[in-house]
Amino acid sequence: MKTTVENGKETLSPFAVGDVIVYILIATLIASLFVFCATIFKSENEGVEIFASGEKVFSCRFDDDDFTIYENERFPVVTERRGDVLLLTVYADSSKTSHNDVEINFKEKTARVTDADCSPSKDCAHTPEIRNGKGAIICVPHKIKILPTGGKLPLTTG
Amino acid sequence: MNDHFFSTKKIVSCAVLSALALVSFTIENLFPPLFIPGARIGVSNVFVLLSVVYAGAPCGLITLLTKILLGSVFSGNVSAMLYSLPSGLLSFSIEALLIKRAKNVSVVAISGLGGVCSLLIQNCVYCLILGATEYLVYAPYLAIVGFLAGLTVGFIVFLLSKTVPEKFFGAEKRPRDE
Repeated sequence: MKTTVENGKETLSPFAVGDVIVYILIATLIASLFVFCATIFKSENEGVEIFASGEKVFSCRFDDDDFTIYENERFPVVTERRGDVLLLTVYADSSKTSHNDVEINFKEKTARVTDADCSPSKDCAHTPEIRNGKGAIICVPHKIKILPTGGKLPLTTG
Repeated sequence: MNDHFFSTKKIVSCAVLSALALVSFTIENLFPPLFIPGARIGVSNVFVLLSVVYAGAPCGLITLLTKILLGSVFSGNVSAMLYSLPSGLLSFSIEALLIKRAKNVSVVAISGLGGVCSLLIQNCVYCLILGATEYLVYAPYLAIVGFLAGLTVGFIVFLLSKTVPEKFFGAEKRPRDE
């Protein structure tokens, strides 16, 4: 690691010749990742599916403007339709003590989590919305996954 | 004074840096992530990096493990340990190796590389454990955020090395450059 001497005191250096190689490597890696993702993640943006602990509890198709709730006592789903927007509350347990609020817009073909009581940071609520068939919203504490349909990778298990 | 590997001064500074890393990690976990899940500036990594630079890799490892293990418990998000531990250990290994062996690379670049590696590995572990490869779509953005966060951390470490006396960090010798 590069150090410099200033006023008789040895301190760390903010820049060195070798940094150029590191920055080029990082830029190449990031560019490769963009190309990889653009190539692999193609989707027809058909709709979204919601899984709770690996079980499918909800699915919808944007073009049909319709949705299906898979009856499940362990993971109840409550819906409310407001025009083009469908509001769902997905419960992570049968006693309805843990939930995630999901908003699906059939006109804009997007899905996002608006609120949850999973953790103080609420990572799932801050995840970018699923749009153009790309993205995924996962609530780890509640084991709830919201995934786009149409264009699923063969490696996806649930 | 004998330069023992774990001198009293080094043990004390390791403890102080571990406590600082733990506190900053716990506070940082209370805030929402930066733009995408898992993305944080990682202010706690400042203290891990300082520990490695001035007190050596073993002390840096102690600081890192204290931050991740106790920080996950204190912040009430124990499941996060599954993702933080492998990514933290791997990026720490890369940083410690570069600090010891790369003579012409600055701490800012090392930290930037560590930030990229940390978030990318975290993303991969996330996908493996949850079986949802769709999450890989965030990999390029996480890499950018990790790089910028790593640069910030490295620059903070550089500023601290200029302003804070090195004896505070338990340095028996000058910052390691062998």
